[in-house]
Amino acid sequence: MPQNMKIDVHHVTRVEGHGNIVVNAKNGVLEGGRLDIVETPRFFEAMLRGRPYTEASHITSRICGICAVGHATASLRASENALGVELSEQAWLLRKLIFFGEMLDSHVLHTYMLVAPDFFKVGSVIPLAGIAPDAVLRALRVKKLAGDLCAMIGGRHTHPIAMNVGGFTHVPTIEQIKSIRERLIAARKDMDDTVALFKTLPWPQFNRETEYVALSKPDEYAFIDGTITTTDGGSYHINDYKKVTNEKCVEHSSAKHTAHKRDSYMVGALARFNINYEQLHPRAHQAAETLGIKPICSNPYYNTVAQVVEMVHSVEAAITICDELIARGIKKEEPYKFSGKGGNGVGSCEVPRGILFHNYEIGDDGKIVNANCIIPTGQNLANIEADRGALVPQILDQGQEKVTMALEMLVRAYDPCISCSVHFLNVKFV
Amino acid sequence: MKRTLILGLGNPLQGDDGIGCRVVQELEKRNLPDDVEVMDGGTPGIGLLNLFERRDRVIIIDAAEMGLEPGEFRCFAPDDITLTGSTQRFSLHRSGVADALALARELKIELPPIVFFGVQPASVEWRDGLAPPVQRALPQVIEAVLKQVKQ
Repeated sequence: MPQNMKIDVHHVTRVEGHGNIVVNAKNGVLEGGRLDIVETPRFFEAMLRGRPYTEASHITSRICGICAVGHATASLRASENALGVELSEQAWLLRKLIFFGEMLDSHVLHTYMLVAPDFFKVGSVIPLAGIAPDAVLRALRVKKLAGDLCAMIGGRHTHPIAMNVGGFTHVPTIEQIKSIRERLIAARKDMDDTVALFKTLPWPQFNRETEYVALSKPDEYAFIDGTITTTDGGSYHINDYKKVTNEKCVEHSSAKHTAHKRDSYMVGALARFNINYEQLHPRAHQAAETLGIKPICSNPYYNTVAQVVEMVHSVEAAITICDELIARGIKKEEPYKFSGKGGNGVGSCEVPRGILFHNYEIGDDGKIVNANCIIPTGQNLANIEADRGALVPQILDQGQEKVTMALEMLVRAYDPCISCSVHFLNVKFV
Repeated sequence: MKRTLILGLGNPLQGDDGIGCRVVQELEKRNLPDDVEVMDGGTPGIGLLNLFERRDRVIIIDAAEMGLEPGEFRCFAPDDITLTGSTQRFSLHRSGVADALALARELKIELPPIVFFGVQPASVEWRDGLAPPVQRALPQVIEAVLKQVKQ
């Protein structure tokens, strides 16, 4: 049994961006275990200052290719709240519909392509495609549907261009909505197969009670707007987000840590599931039962399971919105015209990885004076470290390889998006 | 669906990584043949595969680490090169083209003919705008892509 162990995993594989895990165990006691995160510097906040508010959502949607719609949505809600802009019912339906598209897109990537390979004992989705081609093809099929849905509303793939302050510069046709609706109905089979697949995976059993934080709304499973709600009691208006996040600098990480009532809290699919379970679609409730997850679930590895439940919910909720749009018809709407009066506003939504805040101060010239952006992964860092601190002593006698694997899987379960990576090609000519 | 897709990849806020998007911005101002679509693909990761569907050919412009001088560019086909996006360190931001192509190969997904224009970056740090040598190369890259379109 190794009593002395030093684990240093640089750039945890298969997380978005990169982070390092450092564990130092001496004589069976964990010493200074920590998670290093190389976060994007506060680049975007600096970049937004002095820019017209109309550019903010397009700039921030480049923070991440996975959460482009989420960042754009939080950004637009911040500007809309700052400027007192009301959205039409149609604009709300389109905002929600594209959001479900991105939720599905991101969750299918994380569950199938980043997490599933662990359970098949392969290094990535590429060898997984060799041994479980049907599963990977299913994932690509769902991803295609989600991407097409987002492009239909956002006006292009990956980074939406049609979403603007006050509404949309381009709206889909009823025929397009009908076609997507048909494909969403057909995707129910893929959702059933997804639940069946993930039900069979041997999820690590590790529980640690913590505080969960998510938006909630009286009338629906909240993704855009709502009240900040925590399982430790208490709810806050989104304008008071700093009372929850309490950001502070820590020595070992370039990213700030957050804490509310305890030393850490968790955001993301599991937090939403724990707080808003009752509002999930009946089919998602059925999926949760099949998958064996119930609120309050305190196993962080089950964040991925909660994502599967949310995929089912997203398909159903998207179908409902398509039905509403088809029933009421779609018309082109006048764009918002700036009134010449600035203001301060917070935008918040539940992006795939958890609660996201954008806060802008806009001047009377329409330019951004100050911007603040708090991403979900930043809020989860302290909780990942607390989980790791509790987990390592429980599994230390299993040897370095297994400990490393368990830790990598733990970090991956949070689906961290640490957008500092570059992705250009490395090319060798042969 | 237009038959030829010109796809610029990368993040315009990561310095020279934005070369693909810059080329697309310029091409959008040009008169291109009717069957050519120009797209700013951003950083789509594996989603790249979905953009290839029902196309007769795809031209991709992306920053590529080739060990050349910043701003130098090369035109190549997937078979001409080793795309060294490591399969063991799969992350969707990083993966982009290399892993998408590897996955297509593994799943035997038929892809249209693809031509790459790889441009050597000077820096891909978070920064708005291209470094001077890459900015200077922009017109030449655009001309090379247009020449390719006509072929």
